[in-house]
Amino acid sequence: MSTFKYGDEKITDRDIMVAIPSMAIAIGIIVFPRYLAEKTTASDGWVAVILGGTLAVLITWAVAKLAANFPNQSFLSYSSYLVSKPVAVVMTLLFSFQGILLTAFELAAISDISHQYLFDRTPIEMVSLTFLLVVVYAVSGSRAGLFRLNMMFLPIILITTGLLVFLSIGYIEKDNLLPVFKTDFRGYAQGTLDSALSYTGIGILFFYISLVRHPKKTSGMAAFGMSWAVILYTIIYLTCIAVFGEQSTANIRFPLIELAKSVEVPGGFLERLESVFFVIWIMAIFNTTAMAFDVAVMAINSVFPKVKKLNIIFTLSPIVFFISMIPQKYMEIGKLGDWVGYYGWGMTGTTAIVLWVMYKVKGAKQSGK
Amino acid sequence: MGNNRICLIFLFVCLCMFLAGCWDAIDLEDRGFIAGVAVDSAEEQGAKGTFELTNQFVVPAGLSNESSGGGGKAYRNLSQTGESLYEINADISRQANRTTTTEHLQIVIIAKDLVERSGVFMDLIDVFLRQQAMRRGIVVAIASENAKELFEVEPEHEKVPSKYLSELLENPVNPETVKPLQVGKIQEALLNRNSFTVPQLSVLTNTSANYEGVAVLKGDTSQLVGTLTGEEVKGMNFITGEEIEGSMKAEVDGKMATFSILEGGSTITLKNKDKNNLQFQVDIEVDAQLAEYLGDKDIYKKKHLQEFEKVMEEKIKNIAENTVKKVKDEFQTDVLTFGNHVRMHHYELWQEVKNDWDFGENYFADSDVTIQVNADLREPGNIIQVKKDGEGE
Repeated sequence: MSTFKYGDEKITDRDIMVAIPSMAIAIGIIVFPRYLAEKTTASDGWVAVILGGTLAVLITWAVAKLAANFPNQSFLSYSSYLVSKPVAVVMTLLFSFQGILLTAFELAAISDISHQYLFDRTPIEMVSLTFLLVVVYAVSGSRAGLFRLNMMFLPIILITTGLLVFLSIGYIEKDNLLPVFKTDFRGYAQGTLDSALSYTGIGILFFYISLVRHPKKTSGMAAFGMSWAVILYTIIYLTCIAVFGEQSTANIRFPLIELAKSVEVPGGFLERLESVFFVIWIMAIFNTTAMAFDVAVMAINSVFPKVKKLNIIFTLSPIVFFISMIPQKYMEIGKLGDWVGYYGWGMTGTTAIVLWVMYKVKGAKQSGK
Repeated sequence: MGNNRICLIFLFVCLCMFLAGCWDAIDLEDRGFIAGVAVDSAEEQGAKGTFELTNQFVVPAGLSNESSGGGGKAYRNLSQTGESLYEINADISRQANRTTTTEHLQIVIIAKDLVERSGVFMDLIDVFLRQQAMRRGIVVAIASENAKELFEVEPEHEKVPSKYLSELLENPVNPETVKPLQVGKIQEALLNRNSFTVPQLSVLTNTSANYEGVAVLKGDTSQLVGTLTGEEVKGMNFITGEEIEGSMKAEVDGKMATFSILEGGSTITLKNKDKNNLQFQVDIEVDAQLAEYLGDKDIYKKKHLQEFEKVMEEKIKNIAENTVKKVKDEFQTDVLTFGNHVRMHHYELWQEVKNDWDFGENYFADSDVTIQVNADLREPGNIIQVKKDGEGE
């Protein structure tokens, strides 16, 4: 088996800009309107989406800025310089564990959803395994190839989601949007937390920025990329509320899927449009899963540079598959998702703060290396 | 090396077999597409709380044109009784020797006597929302008598009765009907405990069904409290400002005049905040055209125009007030969106009254409604008059 090589495995700013929203748009986009609608009144949730999004954009910027101070250095090498080698190794392994968990969660969730709506008689393990095999195939190839895949899929995802919103206009009831700003402070706080949690995977920046040849402008580009995801989330949230109303949104398991199911193209030509949207979401989730897995592999590879990449992949995949099979019921999958979200944010946030503090203390003397 | 290649080729050939396989494949011929579902009470035959479910399947062979063979009925009705709709459906599936598919389900009809009981309607709707293959766009109607009889109405232009019925609910632009009601909207209303209206159908002849009016259902219990018909529905539409377009008959100086309402709308305002005696004002705006007039007034004269407009205003006011009387005093059920107005524009007040809006304390029944109408006669039609002006001016 020969692997394709795109030049020298280097990427540009623009690849990072596309990778960030590709990573952020995942399972969260299908469920987050429900969590948010539970906690806020009428259409007020958009405030929480924007606040949570601003937080995500800020952290994205901070992480990218930090990593860009050490161009062409791996996470392990610059964090070793900042916080000593053993701590850096532990951090890297923790990030790799986060990648594994995130991969497993996306795998479990996508198999559960497709089992529900698409293949109700195919064993769930079979769906999972097939999906995982495709992810493994993507990850074992060139890393730059993965970024090209992002670049190819993201416009399709954005355009079709935009189309879905456009087709829902006929179903909008403006009564559902009123009254405005009636949520109490607690509601906003909880909603902000919830929506922030659905912007997953900022941590990939710690690793991927080392691939950027000239990372001077990368932090701005990454933050800009994250803001696409925030805008998309806001639009989707408002559409769900306007079509279903706050109470129904809070009581629909997957509001975005129901939205796709309720939309009909006028003329009765296409009655079941959701099948098209399923394909698109699976593409979005594939991107997230592949990148999460890739980062896990990359992190482990940086700790054990002598082990071949393929060997790491083949060791990790059964572990991922096993973890994804642990949650059996819908409640457990949701729980796993929460944990992955908290873990990811905790990890990324703490690392960003610690490294920034150390960076301010020590300066970037080695950056020219 | 050569051995390896043979192994690989063998593996690929084996894998090819899986390419054609699909765990979930059901051939189209083996699927039974349900176009409509009717729910009746089965109490005469069995224990309490049992339903009779009738599924209308589409028979594709019957849909084809006469020229290409086929013929015969394009539908097949199968009924079973039981307590859980999902289980009855499984029974029907056995009887139909097809895998039932609800993805193209268009209409659900529920018999009136079931809805008259408290809470039954919500229980029945649950399965249509919970099942994954169901879409939120399925329309719901109530049958005045027997729901399954409606599935035997065979119109000349449409081969599947369910399709005819769902089109009947969706198409008419008539001020005596309401927008089709989807299951998704019912979930919204029930969660908010908003009262709502459901179109009510009955069998007219062998070949047609009748849109009788709209049934009024209480939001907290989903119990049917009454039916609005004819002008009462029109009055409701005037107040809510929806589906106003259509005809309206009035008398000008004892001569009949029919107006065609082109467009219009309404605004609701709340005058005070005393929750025990809320005062609502409804302003209705209407633009109309003269469609039919049996008198001899020259409508190009300003005073006659004003007279016509005044007649319209009074007529609309009259219709709307009758509806308010019936809905507020008799049914004590808010289907006129007053509660929604309070929720949207006076949220603090709504928090106080929402648990006793049109049930419990029933603040709605204690409220007062005044109606103001502003009608414009915009178009006289093609001609001015057929008869010569009687006044000889």
